[in-house]
Amino acid sequence: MTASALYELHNIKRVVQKDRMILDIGHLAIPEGAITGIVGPNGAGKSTLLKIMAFLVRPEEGEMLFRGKGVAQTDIYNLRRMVTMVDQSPLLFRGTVFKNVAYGLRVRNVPTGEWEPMVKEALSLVDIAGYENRSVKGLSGGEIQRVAIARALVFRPQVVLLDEPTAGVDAARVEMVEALIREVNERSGTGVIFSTHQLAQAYRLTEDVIHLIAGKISEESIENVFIGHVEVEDGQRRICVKNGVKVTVVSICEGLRRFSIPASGIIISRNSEIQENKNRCEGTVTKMEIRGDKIRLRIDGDLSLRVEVEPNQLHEKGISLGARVMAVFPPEAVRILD
Amino acid sequence: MTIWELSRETFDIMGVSLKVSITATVLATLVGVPAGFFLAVRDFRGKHTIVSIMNTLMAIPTVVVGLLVYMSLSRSGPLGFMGILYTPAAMVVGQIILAFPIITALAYAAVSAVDERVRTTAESLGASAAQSAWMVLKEGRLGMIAAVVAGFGRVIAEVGSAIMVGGNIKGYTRTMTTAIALETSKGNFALGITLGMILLVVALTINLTVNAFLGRKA
Repeated sequence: MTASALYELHNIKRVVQKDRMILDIGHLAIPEGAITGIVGPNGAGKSTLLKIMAFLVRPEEGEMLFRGKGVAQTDIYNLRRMVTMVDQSPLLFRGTVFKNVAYGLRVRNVPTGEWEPMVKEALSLVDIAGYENRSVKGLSGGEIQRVAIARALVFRPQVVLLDEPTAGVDAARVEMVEALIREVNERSGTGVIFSTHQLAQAYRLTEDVIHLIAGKISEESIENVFIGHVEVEDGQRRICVKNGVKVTVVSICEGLRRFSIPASGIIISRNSEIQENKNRCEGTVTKMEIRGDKIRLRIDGDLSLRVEVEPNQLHEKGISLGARVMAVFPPEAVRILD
Repeated sequence: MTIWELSRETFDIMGVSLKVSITATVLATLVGVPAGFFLAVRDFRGKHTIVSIMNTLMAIPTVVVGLLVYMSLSRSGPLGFMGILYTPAAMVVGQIILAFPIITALAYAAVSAVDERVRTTAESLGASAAQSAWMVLKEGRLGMIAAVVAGFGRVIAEVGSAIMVGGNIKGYTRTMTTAIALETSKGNFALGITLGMILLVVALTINLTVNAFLGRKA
């Protein structure tokens, strides 16, 4: 079980221009080493939230914990050296690509002899190997973004914050950036937190999606998102997900639909308790972590589900890492998204 | 009449001019660049007033500075105990006062022109306050160099303050500009013209050097 989240935010408020509240977050926990998406429309406060988590902006109110330690009491420069943020339209310093990518190493006093292999590795990761001696002048928009990402990854931060990494870019580059986010996370376990205004993109990359609207986290989280074709069987509508799993729903819908199953709407059940007319999905508990006063589980089976349970249920229901359990949810809990 | 007169005295005069002006420029830079940087990155009450004062002081007549420094350093003045009137040190003081507003105001403009994201990008990559400030200065270096060159240009070419507080003492406080003024009044145009040409060559050399530097680095 993860003892603490990477970030925990409590009652964080950011106010600008006297009394205009642009961020008001009651509680937010972000897991370590995972991909987390922040979805919201323009002006929702996504960039502000990322800047707060990058320790670039201090909130007017509230407390933020980084790996369980209060940020206010800790040396801000040391914290900044563990995380990094890439802007929506990144700025490269004058000079060569090498100088830019090596900047994080320079400010960390990494011996200059170690720079070259590290810079080459970072450039290779973003598919621009051999660009070291190029001047940043004349780089295309896509190349600038890759250099900026390489510059952020070269010193192997514990978390990379990407502000709208695919805003205003063409489809081919969107795929490249999405693949890169997955690769960075998988290869080195680096946590990636990215913002986007595209719900679909967020769910393509992760199931840990935070919905931000007008500076507040939307109460109703949209998670356990799947897509499938609606079929009508025995007068009931079922959505057939691509791996053969069928989920009964009550909404009147048809065609290819995206749907979500809120984590709070799923219960863990022993086989003997199974009730008819409910959706069931058997799986293995592969992850457990504390989220506020609840325990969050990841259950991997035919569907990969996030489930929230009360702490006392762990013992009662024999839930532990690796245990086979049954996730049960009523058709009423399934929400059709689009 | 000899036009070109490159004597030992000419070189002595050049030496005094360069020594005093370079010293004054370096000292004014050490104070003016941080002051300009501070003005550009910090918001505080009275900031715009200070910037306006600096802009105004850029045009202060050199004789006014000479007068103020003379009054301060003369035996009955508040700094008379230092006993530096009619020395190169007094000339350096006058020239610092002349160069400081120019370097500060132009450094302020140069830093203000640097993209705000330079500082935030440096900080997000782990830079300390000093390291991110240095990055901002480096990104604004074209403007910074222009500020220092303008400051040097102001002091190497000034005559009012140098003659009033230096006293134009041969071999000691005589600079190229004070010598030109003196030689012209004596009708000795040869040395005056030679020194005038040297002044232009010095200015040209500095500009070519700076341009070459910028061409390589930009």
